[in-house]
Amino acid sequence: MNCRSAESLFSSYIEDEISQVERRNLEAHLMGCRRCSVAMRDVRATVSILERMPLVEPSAHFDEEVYAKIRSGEGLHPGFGEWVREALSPARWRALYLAGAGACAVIAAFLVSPAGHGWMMRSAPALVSASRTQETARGIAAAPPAAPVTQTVAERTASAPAPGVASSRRAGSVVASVSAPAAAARDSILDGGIPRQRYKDEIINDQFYLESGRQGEDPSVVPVNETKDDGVYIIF
Amino acid sequence: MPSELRLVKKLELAELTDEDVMERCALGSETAFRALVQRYRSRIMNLVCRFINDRDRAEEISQEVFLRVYRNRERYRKSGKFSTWIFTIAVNLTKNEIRSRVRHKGTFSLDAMEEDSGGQGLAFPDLKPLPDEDLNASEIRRRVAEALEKIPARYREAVVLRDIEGLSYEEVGEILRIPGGTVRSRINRARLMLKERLKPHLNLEDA
Repeated sequence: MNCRSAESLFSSYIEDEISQVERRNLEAHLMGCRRCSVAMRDVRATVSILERMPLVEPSAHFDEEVYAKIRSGEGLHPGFGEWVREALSPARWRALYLAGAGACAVIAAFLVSPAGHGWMMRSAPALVSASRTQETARGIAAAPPAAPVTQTVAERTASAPAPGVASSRRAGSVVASVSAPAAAARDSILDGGIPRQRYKDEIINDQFYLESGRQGEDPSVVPVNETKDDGVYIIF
Repeated sequence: MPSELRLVKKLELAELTDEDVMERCALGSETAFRALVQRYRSRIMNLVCRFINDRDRAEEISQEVFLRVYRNRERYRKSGKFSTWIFTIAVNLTKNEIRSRVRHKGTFSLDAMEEDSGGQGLAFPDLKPLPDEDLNASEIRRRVAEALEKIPARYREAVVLRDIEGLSYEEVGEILRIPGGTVRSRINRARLMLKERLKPHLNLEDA
């Protein structure tokens, strides 16, 4: 034990709040270190003086002044600083916080319930349709209508392709660096309310993209302009 | 009220804990409030005066402590110790006082000001000597007060609450809102600082 660590234990030692091991180590150090031994004695003396300090008594009219301030009303009104602190104190707003937390909990419970999920499914297409309508209105003027296409859609048939197939398709495809949000905006599949995930950079060309399968399924090629009743497929 | 009945009521209050008396005060008993003032006026005055070493201002702040107790009597929760509650009010008011003095001196941070002064702390001289029959006790008190005012406030408040007010480490931690380990290290550090400042007088005290 060095002098620094010994000093940090002085108060604990004086108040007997020290483990046996620390006590033994400290006492061994004090036996061999005169400086720390003297310092320990001085700390004891300092604590003794502090503990015997006489009370600073208030004046004889202390009580009466307090009561007079209450009687006159002077002491009953908080100052501006105190008023602001009180107004912002958590205790005052506790009921509001609890009500807010309760409302959030109810909304969250509704959204994760089957009823809430159905509501979201009904609401989502309407929202997407609105954005798609605007997008389509812009797209019609800019580009001619795409030719009918055909697709090999693994997810729509019971026979899913082997995992290697998807990667070979990707290797042979023209990969465009289009961001995921842009691809989503151009997708009409969401109009049918079918949420699907995509690989971010798997846009094959303007007409097709590689769609990631749901959990446990393989990716498949999907036409960008596919709608629910197109009935068109791609054959590779 | 007959004097005998008044005496009985006083005896009843004297037997009650601080928390029970405060509960009566919260219910509107003026007698209970008076009892609390009598119980705590010296301890609060002593605490505030040790912090700022200015007797007149300490008395004003101590009175404000009791006014706040009165104003907030209905918010007191019996689950907590009354002493911790009233000491917390006193410490907060004293800290506000120290901050306002620091601002008055044109500095925004108490700690920064203490560091600027090379750890000498803030001096709030008490020009009015305290009446004391015992000259030796008065001299010791003056020296301790000088030593206290020269150590940083965070150490001063911890050691005053522990060694002068005699509170437990847990109460000190609760009042200052610091964990137990920090309380212990601050008190130890404060004692080491005071020891250095009182060193020339420690032998005198022993004698």
